Amino acid sequence: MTGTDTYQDNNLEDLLYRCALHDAKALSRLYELTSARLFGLCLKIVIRQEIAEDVLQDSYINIWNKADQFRGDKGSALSWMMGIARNKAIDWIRKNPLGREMSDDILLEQHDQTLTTDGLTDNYADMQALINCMDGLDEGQRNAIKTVYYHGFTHKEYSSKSGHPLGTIKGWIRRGLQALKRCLET
Amino acid sequence: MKMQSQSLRNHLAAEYVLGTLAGLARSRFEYYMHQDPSLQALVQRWGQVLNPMGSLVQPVKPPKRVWKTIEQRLQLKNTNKGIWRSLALWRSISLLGATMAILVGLYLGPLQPLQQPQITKDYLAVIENSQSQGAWVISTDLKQKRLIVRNLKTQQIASDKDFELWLLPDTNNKQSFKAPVSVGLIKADKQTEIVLSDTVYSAIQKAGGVAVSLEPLGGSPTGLPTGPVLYQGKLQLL
Repeated sequence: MTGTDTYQDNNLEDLLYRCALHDAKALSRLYELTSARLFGLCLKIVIRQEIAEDVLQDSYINIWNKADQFRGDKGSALSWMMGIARNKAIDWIRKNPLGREMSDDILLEQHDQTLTTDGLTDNYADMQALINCMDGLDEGQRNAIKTVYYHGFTHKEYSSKSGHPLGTIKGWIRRGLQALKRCLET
Repeated sequence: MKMQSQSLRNHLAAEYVLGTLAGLARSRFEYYMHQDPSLQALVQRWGQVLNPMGSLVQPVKPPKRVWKTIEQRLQLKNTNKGIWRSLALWRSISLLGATMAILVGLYLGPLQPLQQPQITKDYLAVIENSQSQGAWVISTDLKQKRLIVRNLKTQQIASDKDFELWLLPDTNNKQSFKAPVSVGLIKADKQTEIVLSDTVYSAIQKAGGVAVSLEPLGGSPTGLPTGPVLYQGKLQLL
């Protein structure tokens, strides 16, 4: 990887602005700081290592090309990048609905709520606020939103995995999202 | 899909970010989103709400080959060598530089006697948008420590925004500065003349290019570009 000898900047926002100006070393540093986070997320959704690698590549190419659209006043750089990676991963599973093998244990998975200790605190405040608001949701709403977010399920897929009726799932998600928004706005 | 109801738009934006939309519903939503900035803003807002959840996923270090492929796909490593060795490009640069020098010479003709000895080398840049449409021509007068920005046409800009001109680092030069350096605000509808500070004066000679970003009124509050970069150009030595 190039440029790490001269670039020690940990400010993701700064690095994105420099990517917008086509500074290759800024992308190199950004990748060094964030690729494990984004790869973990892609892997969770697409499951297969080789597909997650392709999705990660596409994500950073998109980040490079769209860096001039990032606005620091509209949200954190890490969340913006995660949005791009997650969208790429979901694009892939929507095009290849049978392309991933998932164990049923996924529904029993406990989603850890501790901060990763890699020193990136870019979206820490947003994340703490979200955790607090998620705790205030009904169990059904909370599980539905988390499972769908982390595994990229459609309503129908989650319904057939969990055994809950489709209408119930849709209601949980709709009401859960509304409650989250209300909570985060107060 | 009727997209007039505000609550439906809000709900679909949330479901899109969450990832539950599939098939036609997903592609239709993306179609509407690409044409509707207010729908894009809703998606951005929901991204801000939901995407921090991604930070709770256990990080996994990707294999080194992923970065190598990204570097290759974006031509981050070899482009510069390739470009600088390209005879065709050198020819075009020389031709463009010569043409612009003549144009600027004609423009400035009455102001600058031709016999005056050139003590300091000056620079010229044509700033273009992403469709390669020229917007401004910049020329320096380093002897007088000033820079002149001429409009090729009047630019449209919102009343609460300003255009800000930046010098970009030269990534091939280790002596170059690391972050973009602000040169100053430039006018959308008429020529701007900027007196160069010592910092900008020395940075020009190590810069890789110039760019114009859209900033809040009065310029970037952070000292770095905060808005989209709308125009870029290469500095040519005259």
